[in-house]
Amino acid sequence: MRSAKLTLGLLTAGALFGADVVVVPGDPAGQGFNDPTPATPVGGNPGTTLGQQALNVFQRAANIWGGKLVSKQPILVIAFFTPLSCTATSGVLGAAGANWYFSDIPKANGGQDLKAATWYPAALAEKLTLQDIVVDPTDPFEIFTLFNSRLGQPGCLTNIGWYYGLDNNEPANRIDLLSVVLHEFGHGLGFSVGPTNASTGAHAQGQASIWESDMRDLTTGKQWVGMTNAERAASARRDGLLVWTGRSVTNVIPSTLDFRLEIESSLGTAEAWQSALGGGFAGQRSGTLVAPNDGGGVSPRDGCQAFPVVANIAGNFLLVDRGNCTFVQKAINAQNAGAAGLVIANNAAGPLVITVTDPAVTIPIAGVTTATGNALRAAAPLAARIQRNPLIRVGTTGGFARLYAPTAFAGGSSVSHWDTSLTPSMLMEPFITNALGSNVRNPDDLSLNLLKDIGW
Amino acid sequence: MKKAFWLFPAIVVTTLLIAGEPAQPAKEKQVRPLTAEEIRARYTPEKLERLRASLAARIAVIDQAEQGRRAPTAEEAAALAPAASPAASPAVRSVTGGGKALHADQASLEYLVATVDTDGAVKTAHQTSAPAKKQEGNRNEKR
Repeated sequence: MRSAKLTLGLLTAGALFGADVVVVPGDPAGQGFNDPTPATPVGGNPGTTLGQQALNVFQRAANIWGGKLVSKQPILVIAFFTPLSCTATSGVLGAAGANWYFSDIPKANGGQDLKAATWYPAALAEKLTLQDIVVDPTDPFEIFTLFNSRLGQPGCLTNIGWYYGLDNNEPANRIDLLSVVLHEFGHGLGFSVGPTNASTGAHAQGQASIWESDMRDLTTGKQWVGMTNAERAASARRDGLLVWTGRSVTNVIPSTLDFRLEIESSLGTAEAWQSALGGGFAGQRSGTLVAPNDGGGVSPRDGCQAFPVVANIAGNFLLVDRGNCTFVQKAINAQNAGAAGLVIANNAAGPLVITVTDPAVTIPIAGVTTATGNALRAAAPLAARIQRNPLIRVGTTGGFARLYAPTAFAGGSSVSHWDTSLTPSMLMEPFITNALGSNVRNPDDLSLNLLKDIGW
Repeated sequence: MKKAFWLFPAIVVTTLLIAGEPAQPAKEKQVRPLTAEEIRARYTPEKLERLRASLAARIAVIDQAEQGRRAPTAEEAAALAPAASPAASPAVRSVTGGGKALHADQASLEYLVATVDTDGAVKTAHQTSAPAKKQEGNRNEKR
């Protein structure tokens, strides 16, 4: 079977409702997919070696995407486990993209025309034109993927290895490989602005990617496809103002995204994010927002220590800063002090969406940006009303879902992901959270709808 | 039908057979399994690292104090970012039958030339000089 001279013919049934996503392991003997290390079956994964378990996870991810997409052309995914960047507490989990981009491919009989002078990811171009486009017979893959082989080893998210279960039920010290593989396959299928350079705005060979017709900058009102390189580069750094305008995504926003949580006060209306921890801010909650110091510790503003009795917290909303201890610890301290609700200000750029849970916490909790937290703290105590806005969905601007566009461009993350402000968490967000499952479509997710917008 | 192709550690050479049902081409592939050595030769660790630089990535950061995951700071994100791939002019390949192709491998400035023997075996060789004319002002970056 491995002879270079042997040619096999394999026939698959036509996929009228589905697509064949085929995983081709690229690892050498003894590594990655071929790792013979014995493993105990876990979470519905019957594999008895690490390599077998990894293959089972990849095939499950392939089957999930294959069941949601329609293509008559098999989608070949070359996959490797290889060392990727990491430190003891952070790491790149995986990376992926289209292996080829095509443009101006004539359609086969029964196929569709592609938009002229526009780059399409290989799998989508082949689906639309109804043909298997072969440029290099030795490199037929539609998708190229890499996954971190060092995860959990010393110095690489030490002791936090992959979870090979198929049930999205990873323990706290494991990272769910299935959700990461699903995410990376999504990039390879077309969830990416590539081959356009998002940082510089430069088009590859002067041609836009299929994404750009559905990307709009709300500052200028322009779609990316009609911008100059400089305009695209600026747009990639406009936090909250780069949105996806495709119809399929926009139509299902009401059935996918939560209503936006807001804090109204004399300072105006500020966006907030409902925490999965504690109770919800159901209905309208009015009260006084206070920001007393806690009992000390690293910072008196972080709520990591018990609050003194004289802090006047009972019945009020309490504001604390993120950091220095767990969210649960802050919540328990607030709860014990009698707070009616807890507002936690982020200590980093962007929104604060808390996805951990603990049944011991019952008070409602909201996250806010650093800027909002600082403004509220400076004005505290002040009257505040915390409520969901029934007219605005969280993570949207102007009715459109936001793409990730922090002011500090993040290579590999910016633009080609949903913004982290969307809740519930989306599969195609740049950073893994505790709330990611393996459903790729609404009502749980917008990611499949984006692929539909570009032609899937 | 979800055939378990992946059981073959193979590179697949694809051809489309359209005879008999032109409106809905049958899905058939000519498969030539490649040896592990051939795969290794094509994807060296250095090449995988270069390819990594062109791909969208997913990142995890564990906050020890919070005992949970969070987004990276700008400094952490910068530390995890791959080394910049060498500036490369995107080379477009022509597609038989019409159209153009860009390969995700181009930033590496390595180009694979393939020849097919009469017995169907495919031989490959790398060349380091760009086979296509450079175009000013376009830098290829894929993600």
